[in-house]
Amino acid sequence: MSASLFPLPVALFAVAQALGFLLLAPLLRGLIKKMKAAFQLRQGPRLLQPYSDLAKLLRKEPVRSTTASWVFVAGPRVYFASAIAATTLLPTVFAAAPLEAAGGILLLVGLLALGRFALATAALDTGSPFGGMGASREMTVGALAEPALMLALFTAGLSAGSLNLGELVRRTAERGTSIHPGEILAAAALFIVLLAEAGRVPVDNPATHLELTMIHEAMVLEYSGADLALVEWASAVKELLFMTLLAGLFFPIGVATSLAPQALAISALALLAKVFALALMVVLVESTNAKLRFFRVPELMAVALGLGFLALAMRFF
Amino acid sequence: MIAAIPLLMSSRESLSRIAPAPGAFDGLSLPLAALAFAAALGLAAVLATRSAFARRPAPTWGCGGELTAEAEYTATAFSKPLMLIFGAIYRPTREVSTLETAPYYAREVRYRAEVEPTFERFVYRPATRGVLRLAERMRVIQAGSLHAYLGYVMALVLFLVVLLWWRG
Repeated sequence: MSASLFPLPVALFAVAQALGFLLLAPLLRGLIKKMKAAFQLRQGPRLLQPYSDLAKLLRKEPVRSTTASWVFVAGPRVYFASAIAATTLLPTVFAAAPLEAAGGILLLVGLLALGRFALATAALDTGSPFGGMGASREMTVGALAEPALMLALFTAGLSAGSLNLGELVRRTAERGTSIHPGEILAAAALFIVLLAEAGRVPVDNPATHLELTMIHEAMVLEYSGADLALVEWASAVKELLFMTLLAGLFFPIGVATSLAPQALAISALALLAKVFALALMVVLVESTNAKLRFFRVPELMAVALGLGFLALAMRFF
Repeated sequence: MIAAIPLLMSSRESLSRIAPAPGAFDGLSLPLAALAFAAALGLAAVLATRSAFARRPAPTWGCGGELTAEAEYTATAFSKPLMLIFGAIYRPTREVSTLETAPYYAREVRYRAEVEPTFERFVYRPATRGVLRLAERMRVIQAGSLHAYLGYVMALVLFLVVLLWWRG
């Protein structure tokens, strides 16, 4: 790659953004846990507990199944890498993504699918029936959530005339505060997808250790130590990524379009506030709903898909 | 992120250069994406260095019991949720018949599962049938006499010459 095509500042921007996601994602997890505990009148773990957990897991010796092959080892690494690479594709504080030239919506969805595939095959690798069950369920939920995700993103893409996430946020920010009704539906669809992708309550329960009800946790049951840390960290990054995506595409108020320090500060604060609001919504949904029976999940996903279809159809009127 | 800002400001034109051409609906640069992915993979490897060198082998957890090959998740089991959810399309049939029963347990069963090839039947097969039928028709002119073919080519050349002469 020639230097003119890949300048150093862009690389630094990409690295800074990826590190920002890595550093803030556990905090989001901690925040959600704390708010959930407050809803249940519990004190809950410390806000910074996820950092301690990750540090502990990274230091610990991993236990590996004697029947596991390299697929099992590669799983968490590919999952982690796909989530981190995906963070460089979306704009956060500044209305441009670091690696905008790499691709847009399709690459983002593809990268996330690659991570899911890696983890599902790794779960099958040990021969554990729970891993297989978790992988099967995860792939099923994924297969149902992905079309809804694509439809919601395409709706945003159609209104902006581009599938590039940076371009998309810039055009949405340019347009100001006017909101097309279709976008509200698309945002709702994306929120449901967020719940499914982050393994949140109506779809999955991130807190449970009941083997038969788990999806994501069942899939990663055989992991321990640093391998588990990678999986947990990447899942947290994925959750933050979906929230940033939702905030950036449908509520782009305050996004900095210039590099003036003031605009950037306002934009950073606005983004934090938006992510906080989304986290609060996730907590509300988690605290007021019971986990759906697995074969009821398709109905929820059908709602997301229907919202996505309606949103897309409304773009043409 | 703050450290990168002055650098960004010093080269705003480079930032505009990496964005795809305005008006482009979607741009994709796989080398760049692969580079980002490889860098992230490197970070994952560094973070989990400990797990690469120090590891303790242990048998796969089998829910307290002994884990045998029969307990492994099969492809049929793996695809079962999708089969059930899209049952209207796939129309799965499942047949379990007990062949031999020992005092309490079935000792031998026969299992048969089948999936209706919906797309095969309603999409691909009509298409292939149509193409084959067309090919059958066209065979008539395929296996003809060589002289006739030369005649066709001659006629075509004459036709084109006449066409050129007439139009130009």
